[in-house]
Amino acid sequence: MTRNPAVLVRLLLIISAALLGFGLTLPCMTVVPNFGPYEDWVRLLDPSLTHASHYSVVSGIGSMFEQGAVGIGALLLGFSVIFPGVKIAIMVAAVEALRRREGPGWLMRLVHHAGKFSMLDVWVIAVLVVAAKGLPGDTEVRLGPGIYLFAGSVLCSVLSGAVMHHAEHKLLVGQVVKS
Amino acid sequence: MARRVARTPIWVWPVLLVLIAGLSGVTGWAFFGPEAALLVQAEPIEGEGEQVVSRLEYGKTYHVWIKKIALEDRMPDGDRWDSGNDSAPDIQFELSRDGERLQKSDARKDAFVARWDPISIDVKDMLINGSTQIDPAGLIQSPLVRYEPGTVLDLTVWDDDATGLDDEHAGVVRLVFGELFLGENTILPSATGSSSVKQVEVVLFPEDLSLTELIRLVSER
Repeated sequence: MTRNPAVLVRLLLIISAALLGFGLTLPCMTVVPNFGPYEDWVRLLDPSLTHASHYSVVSGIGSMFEQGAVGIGALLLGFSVIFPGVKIAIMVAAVEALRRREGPGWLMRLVHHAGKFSMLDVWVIAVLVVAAKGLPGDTEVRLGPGIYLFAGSVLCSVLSGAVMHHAEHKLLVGQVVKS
Repeated sequence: MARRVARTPIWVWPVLLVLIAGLSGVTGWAFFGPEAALLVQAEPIEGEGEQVVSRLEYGKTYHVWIKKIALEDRMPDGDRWDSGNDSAPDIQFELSRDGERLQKSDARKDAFVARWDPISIDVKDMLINGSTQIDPAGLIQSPLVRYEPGTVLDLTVWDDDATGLDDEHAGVVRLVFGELFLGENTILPSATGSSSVKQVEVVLFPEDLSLTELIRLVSER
């Protein structure tokens, strides 16, 4: 792998890592309750029901553990927090291996498989937003900056994967030609 | 002689990226984490072209119900409350407007957090007067206040002394109607050396609220 693609991939992965951290901790979703024509009465009788609720990926996972939904919480922790971080780490190690012309190896195979799960969380949140549309009384779900930053992190890792795949292909072709 | 170029160990970059992700996560949590989210919740949110939260209207009359008062664990001067008998304060308040008293509550004994209901029945008064009927409007003890520009109420809080000779001042909270909403308002006075009032919950409800709705209001604690 030549120098320029390696620099590009590293830059994309650094951006992806930074966006991942912000994306996991900034609010990704805000639920604004609304009770239609009864809004004023609800506010009068139980104002806590009218307060907006903000959720980030991390705070949402924490809430799940607190409320006993350990299975779902662990699943989201694994695929939302641990997996993306490990994937970025594997990718940057793979690009180093490629740059040293050590061949794709098991690292690149791991990266290929990991890429299939990239958009899982974005999809889950999109489903939640659609589901919330069916709630009564014009309750609204607003996407927060966290989801956009998280998606940006995923896109950067997907782009770096594409560059790495191209570089890997060139390396393999070069090896075939030499042989 | 060929020079050997030192290679960065392959594990350096993964560790560096994980650190970058962790640092950005900590930064995001510090500035936009749950604490920040809670502060944002305290602000009213407006929908598109339509207010979700109801402000008060000029010319309308509202009941002002002082629902809850919380005091700090020390008096404004730093001394303990009721140091004579080592007990919590007996919280009492007076609501006034332009120096004229609107309401004086009864005291809540030995408590740092006190609650009052807007409805009460004076049994003694009924017995003395020989009343056999209860007027629903008479049950509501919260004073009525007509909202006009510049309406401000003063809530004076103190630790009641049974003898009346040693009441200990807790603080004064100004209730500016222009900053309040219909329904429950939570006021967090700024910490000063002259006040030990930590929190006030005041509920404003319309004068024409039915007794049924008022009972529901009281039951929602």
